Amino acid sequence: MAAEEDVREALRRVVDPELGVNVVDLGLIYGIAVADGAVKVTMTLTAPGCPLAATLVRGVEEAARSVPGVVRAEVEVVWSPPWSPDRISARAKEELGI
Amino acid sequence: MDGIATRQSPPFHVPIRYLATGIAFFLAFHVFLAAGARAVLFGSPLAPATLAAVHLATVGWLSMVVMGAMYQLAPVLMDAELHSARAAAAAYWLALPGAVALAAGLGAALPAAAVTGGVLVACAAVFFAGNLALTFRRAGRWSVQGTAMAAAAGFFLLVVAWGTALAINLWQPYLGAGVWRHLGAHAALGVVGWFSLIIAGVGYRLIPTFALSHGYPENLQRPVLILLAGGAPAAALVVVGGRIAGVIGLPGQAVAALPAFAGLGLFAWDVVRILRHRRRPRLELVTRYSVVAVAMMVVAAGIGWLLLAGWAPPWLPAGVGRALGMKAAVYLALDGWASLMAVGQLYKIVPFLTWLHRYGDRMGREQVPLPRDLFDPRLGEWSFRLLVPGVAGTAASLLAGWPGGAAAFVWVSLAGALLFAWAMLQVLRPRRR
Repeated sequence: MAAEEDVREALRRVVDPELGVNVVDLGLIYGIAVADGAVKVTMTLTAPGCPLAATLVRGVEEAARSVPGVVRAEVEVVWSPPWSPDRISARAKEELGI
Repeated sequence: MDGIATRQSPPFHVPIRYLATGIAFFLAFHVFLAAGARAVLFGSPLAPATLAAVHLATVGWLSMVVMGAMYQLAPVLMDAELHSARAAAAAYWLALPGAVALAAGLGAALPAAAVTGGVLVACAAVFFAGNLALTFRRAGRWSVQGTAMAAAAGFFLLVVAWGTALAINLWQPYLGAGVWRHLGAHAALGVVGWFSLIIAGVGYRLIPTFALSHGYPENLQRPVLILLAGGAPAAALVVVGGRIAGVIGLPGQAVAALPAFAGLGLFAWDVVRILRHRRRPRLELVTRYSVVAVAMMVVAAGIGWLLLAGWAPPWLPAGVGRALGMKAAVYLALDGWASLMAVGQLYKIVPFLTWLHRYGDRMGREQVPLPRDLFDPRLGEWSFRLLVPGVAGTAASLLAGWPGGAAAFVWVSLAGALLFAWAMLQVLRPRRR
């Protein structure tokens, strides 16, 4: 049975190519719900019209689906609350020198 | 990352072909400059070597790169699918031979070749402007940046049409002494209406993205772009029509050029405001290039405006100072402002597009390199350390009337251009997946 933490860990493989920070530490993941082998990830993007929207969403889907026990993965992109650099984790901020 | 691509972007080969060709022309321009600095920089503006060098830079390098980048960025800025990726790909085969024939024809004093090249470039410009206009029509909302880009594409059409008319004049002279005024208008429209407007429009999107700026004021964007879009044709028309005498004591050209210069000055101020709101304290390579490019634009605009207002460098002999001052301003605008801005952005755009093409579909499944891993960062650093003093030194030598200095500094910028091209080659070279 997959746990939320397993999915979160898998999502760390999805890295924003510009910043070099994974989507979890970047603060793009707003929620992960796991039930009966189905995962629903609620996430945002750095801005509407983000060029990587399709690539990131597909990457998050692939990463979630790769977790043992997960048979279905769905990603919902939301814009509220809007993303800001304040959402970046302390560890990633340190890496970025922010 | 927001600012470079969307699902609606054209296939990889469309923009990358323009960008790679532009980089090759950038290198060719610097080789040409190094081989004949005295003739190119200190000769007549209508001398074959000077005309060839200017068009290697403006058509082969800058316009080619801008077209490639815009085919990629238009869907992002306009939030609409590019009207025709096929037309964009086809237009490349007009732009490439056009740029080669134009530069070669001008350099070898073969007006027929130059006119043929000009016509081919004009056809590519029609494809480009038409494609953007039709993309713009599809857009649900008109962003200020997208509107600026569409206006710049219109100015590009005017610039190449005017340039082709000037090339015909080399073949069958019909403009007489008026050729100088038409040359000035062609240059003003190209530098302000085409290059500066597009740099400002796209810069408003890319500069904050790469500096990770957030919460900066956006109230100046529209006025800046309106001043540039309105100022460019105003300046060109007055240059062609001659000076308006007696307007507040300044020559009419300087007064007519005020909106354009105000737009450039406000853009520089706005870049400072954007960077004050950046979250990354350390300036990345792309941002350092942008800062230096904007600083060079301010110096070029300052010199240009003073010259239009009647000033001449007092340390140079009468009659020579104004000509050399104008050459310094134009050189700084092209190889400093436009070129360094383009070089900096290409250090991001080319690796990103290549990364998306090669690794985008593997993200989430396996570890993939980052775009910045696709080239040696030392090449980026050293190209900056050589290009900036090379360009600044060449412009200063022009202003000082020192051909020996210019002849030395162009080799420094050539070394920087070589390292830049080498870095781009590292990005684009085929790799095993």
